[in-house]
Amino acid sequence: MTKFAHELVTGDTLDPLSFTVTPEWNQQYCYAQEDFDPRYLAGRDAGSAEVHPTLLLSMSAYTKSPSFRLAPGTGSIMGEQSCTFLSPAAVGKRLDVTFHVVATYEKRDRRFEVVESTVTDEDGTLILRRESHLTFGSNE
Amino acid sequence: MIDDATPLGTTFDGPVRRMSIERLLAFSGGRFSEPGWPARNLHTDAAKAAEAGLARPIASGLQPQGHIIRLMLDLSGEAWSRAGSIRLRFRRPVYVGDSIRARARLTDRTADSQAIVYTLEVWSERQDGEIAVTGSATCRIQKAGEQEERH
Repeated sequence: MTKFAHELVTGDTLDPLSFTVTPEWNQQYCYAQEDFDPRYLAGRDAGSAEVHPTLLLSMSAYTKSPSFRLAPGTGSIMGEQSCTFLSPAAVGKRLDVTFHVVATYEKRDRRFEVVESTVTDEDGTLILRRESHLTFGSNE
Repeated sequence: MIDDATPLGTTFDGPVRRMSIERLLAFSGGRFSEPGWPARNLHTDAAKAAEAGLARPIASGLQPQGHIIRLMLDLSGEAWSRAGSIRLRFRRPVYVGDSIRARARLTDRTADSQAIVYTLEVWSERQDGEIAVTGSATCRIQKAGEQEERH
């Protein structure tokens, strides 16, 4: 994918992303959100700690795709977002993210792209499905 | 926790969260372990924010979203991680130094043989009373003794 982000059209796919959350990285998000629920720290019932939901959201933003490219002098703006949590993600497991442009539309003279992201873990369990409505602005 | 006895219209408040630069750096500055941390962007750096026409660094919209999700977890428990949905619009910026609070109001409750689906209006309110983020959340909570049929 060589297009700039604002040039994407329905059907375009950005390169997928894989990552594995470490306990330290997870705790960084706990600190950022002032959310030290034990489920994110040591796990419960001898299970693995769960990945903090904002870390999942952060890494499933399409700006995280290896092929995401902003045109010089532009920035992306998220106008609307929907997401569904389908299963907890475990710290230490590989997570795979896909990014698909599923629609584009115009509203108030702005062009929006609707990007669907899914997060699946290394066992094939669907963790999160997310749809973001993004538009672009000039930084100049 | 919400349950089938919670009256429609009941409101719930999360704690007030101050969006300090330390919290923004932790959220948007990249991993602490990365060389050159923190990444400089409009969430973490005053000069980068100014380049984008902002008076101060702006919090990622995912931060107030995360506070709303935390409130939903408190209200719906384990069910949220397996059957929680949220739809949000980002209406006004949250800047470094602002304080925000996640809030929710129970608006609907429907039941089938296995579960109750709760719908809540959700929003994030700044210290000046302005709404930064608004939307709705739903969560499907299994009735006691019922097993979800997964396909």
